[in-house]
Amino acid sequence: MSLDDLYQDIILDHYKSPKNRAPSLEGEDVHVHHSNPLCGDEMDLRIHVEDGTLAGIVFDGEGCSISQSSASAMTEAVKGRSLADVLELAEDFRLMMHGEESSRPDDLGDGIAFQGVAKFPVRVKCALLGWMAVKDAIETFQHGDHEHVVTHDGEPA
Amino acid sequence: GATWNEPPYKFEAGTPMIAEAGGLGAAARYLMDLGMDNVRAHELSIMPTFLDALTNEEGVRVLGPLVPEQRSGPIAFTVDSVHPHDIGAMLDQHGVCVRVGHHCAKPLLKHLGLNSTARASLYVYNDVDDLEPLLDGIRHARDFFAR
Repeated sequence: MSLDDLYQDIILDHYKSPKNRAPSLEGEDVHVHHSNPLCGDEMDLRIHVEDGTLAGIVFDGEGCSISQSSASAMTEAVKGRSLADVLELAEDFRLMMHGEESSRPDDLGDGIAFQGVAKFPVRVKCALLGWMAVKDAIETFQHGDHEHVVTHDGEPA
Repeated sequence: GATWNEPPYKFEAGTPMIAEAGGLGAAARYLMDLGMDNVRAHELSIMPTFLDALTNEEGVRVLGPLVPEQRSGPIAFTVDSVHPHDIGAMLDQHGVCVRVGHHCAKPLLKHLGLNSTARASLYVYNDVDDLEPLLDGIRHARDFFAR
């Protein structure tokens, strides 16, 4: 698999025209900030929860094409799902990044386009950043908190 | 207040950098055998070619002074609209290894308004033939992400 195959049109489209990218969210319940010192990626994720459902989600930040496009595709895949379902879907995506077959390819939506990232180990963290952020946002919400800052471990860059 | 990482990372004890210390000693001996004046002379003999080409390349910004004598081997640069991690991935495919990220200089990069750069390091192994694949990779990345 070549790099050009990795950067499929779906991924490039999300990079150039990200979905649900905004610096604020009406009715924000939780804001998490995730950074990855390995590559300098920064991500802000905000969620709004209604009756146990992820009613609103936006992300913002700076990062490589893989991290930004994956976050964009993630927001589309998780919006409107129950919190428990989002956590399960995030786990499905995480396992896919470790080379396993997704058991919910349809539910991942455009997220399935990132399957090939598993073959580029240094980029797995990039693709996971948004998914780890939404998982953290939900867990933060479930703890009754509103803010959480996470720095992901990496080699010094 | 201290902040703890999530398990299992917070339980990992530090290990003295024994292998690294040994490697540093070997590297110092190797460089002294070459002669540091020779190392510097080699850097200076090829650096102008790289600096000229990179500063004249569309969309490329070279950081630091453009006078070879005021620099050491590494050349940190950015490419308009292409994230350094993506540049690095593209250069990989062209057989060029660069380091990407903040190079343990986060406050400096923040001051420069950047959060990461790509960095090509000229060293005793390099010569001017390495310029072509570097430029090819940069152009590939620029064209690819502009499409």
